[in-house]
Amino acid sequence: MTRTLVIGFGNTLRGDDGAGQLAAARIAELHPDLTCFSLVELTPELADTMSVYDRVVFIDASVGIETLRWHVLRPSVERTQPRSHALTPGDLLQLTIELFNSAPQQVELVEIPASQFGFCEEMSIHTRSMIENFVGLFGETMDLHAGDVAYLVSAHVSDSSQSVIPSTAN
Amino acid sequence: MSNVITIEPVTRIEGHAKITIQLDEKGEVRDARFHVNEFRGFEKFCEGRLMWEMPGITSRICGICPASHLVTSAKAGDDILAIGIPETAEKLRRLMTLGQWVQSHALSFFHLSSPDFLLGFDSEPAKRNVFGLMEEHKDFIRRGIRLRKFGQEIIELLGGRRIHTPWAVAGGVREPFDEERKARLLAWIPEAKETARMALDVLKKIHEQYAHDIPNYGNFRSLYVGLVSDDGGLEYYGGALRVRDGDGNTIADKIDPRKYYEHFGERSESWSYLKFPYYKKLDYSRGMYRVGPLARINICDYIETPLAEAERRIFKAIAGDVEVMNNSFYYHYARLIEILFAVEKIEMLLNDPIILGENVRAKAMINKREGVGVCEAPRGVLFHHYWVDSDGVIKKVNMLIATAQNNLARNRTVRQLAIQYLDGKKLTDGMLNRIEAGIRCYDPCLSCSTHAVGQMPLHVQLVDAANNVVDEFTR
Repeated sequence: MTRTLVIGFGNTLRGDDGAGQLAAARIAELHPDLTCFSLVELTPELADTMSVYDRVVFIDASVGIETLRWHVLRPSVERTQPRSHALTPGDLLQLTIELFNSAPQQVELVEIPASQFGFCEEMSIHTRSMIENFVGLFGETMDLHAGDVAYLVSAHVSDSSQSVIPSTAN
Repeated sequence: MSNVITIEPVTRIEGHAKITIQLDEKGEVRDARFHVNEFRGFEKFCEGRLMWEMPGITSRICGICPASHLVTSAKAGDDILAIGIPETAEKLRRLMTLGQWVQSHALSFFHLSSPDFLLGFDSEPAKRNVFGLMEEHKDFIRRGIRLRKFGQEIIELLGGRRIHTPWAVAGGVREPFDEERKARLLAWIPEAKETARMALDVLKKIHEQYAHDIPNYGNFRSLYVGLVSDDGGLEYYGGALRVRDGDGNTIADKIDPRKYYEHFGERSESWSYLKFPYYKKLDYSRGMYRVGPLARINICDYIETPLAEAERRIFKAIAGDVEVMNNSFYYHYARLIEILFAVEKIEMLLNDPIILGENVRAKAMINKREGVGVCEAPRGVLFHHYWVDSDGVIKKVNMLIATAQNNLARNRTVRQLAIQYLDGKKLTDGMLNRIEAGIRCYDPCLSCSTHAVGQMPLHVQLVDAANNVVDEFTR
């Protein structure tokens, strides 16, 4: 059985920015056997945790998109020069590979469309709809092996640099 | 006409800030300031909420040290209820506070500061981070990450969540501990202890390597403030406040921490959102004090755990006759002693049968209209002060955080480093990085839970008296 870790991150006090956390919480409700974290930000010790999973799915809010984006991450992608304690999913993947000599077979980043970042706990209707959309799609990938998930995601690639599953909503 | 160098953002700290360095007409440093340019207003928007909600709300102040706010807020609630909490609950809160120390201190040393020490202050900026360290110091950084994970796991196993857990409440904690979680945490102890000792060994070599630089890192007398136990030991949850000066004299002791406002004032400056606390018994100009690891090791008479106490004695021997270390670079040293203490003390608490008790919460009505909670957060002593009505609705909040209490000393450190390293003619990344490293000694936490959109570049211009750009630096 594929060991799957879901990590949703963002700030639930800044409106749509909390989309990742909410999505991870929804998946935890629907799939209690999975390990799901809802976090404000990504911190280095997650690399150690990731090293024992087959599949890791990051979920974050994203500005400037209308539909879900579902990337397959590779270590060289998204790596930054960390200026603080917070890391990107690509950073974490890099840390996992280099420090713990064992990386998940598949690491994915799901971007949920977000547009309102005021000081509130409410999310926009569109973002909430996209969260539910993603949660449903995620369920379809649950029983697949990591390689099959890659196939499913890559089957929807719209360009060579970015793997995308178009939203079924809208 | 003065000239100004701006460093923005200050990197590898929690939050957003900038440094300005003012030069005179000769190009020499006249002044330097550390500005906190983000505003959050937690104190204001807590008004109108129920006192019972405050631990959950205030833990949201920070994504790195939420457990400290959680426990301190719950203690303020205990004060409003006017009750003592069950012994099991107190020991579990202590356990969580120490877990917070371990994870926060590990992040500060291994992740944020060690790239400067192990790769060099003048090393290539693109590599001067945790990834650069991985190339040559893989085991060191792996151990640091796992040490932080240990601290996080304590918080998670007690609170049920990694961060922002609503576990501590007025009157105690929400649920008892159990054997299974205790065994999981005990299994970490040998590795955590070994990592803490390894880090101290590494740091001692770093001190030898940078013996020439270290005297410039915030080396001045100030007051030191923190909690000590009833008999003067290192404290992190209870006890009373002690104030010691830079010559080792205890100038105030056994101060009831709930009366903190009689001893500490706050001043505002137009150029920063962060206030400037000071010791009121002296005046603003002489009342500068430091809190946090350096202060705690300076003011305590002993540490109750053997390995950490042995390290404290070495530290005191380095400090010399006055037994007070006035150099802020030694925050790192003190931080590692505290990690060692925390690991030893966690082991003691886990082996104490009382932590498995079932009675973890006392209940009462609102019995006081005002309550104060105090705790030693990783960065220093933290105060939560609430005023409520008869239904427990918050009327007013005052929070005095460690990062603010170090504000005067941190600014003086920046000034000292700027004078030492900037000549007003040529900027280098290494010079600016040393000034940032002075800030990192204090490990300031500038409200990291607010998500920033985008990333600010570092762009510094050196302008002469005639407003000509003499030098320019971009990172």
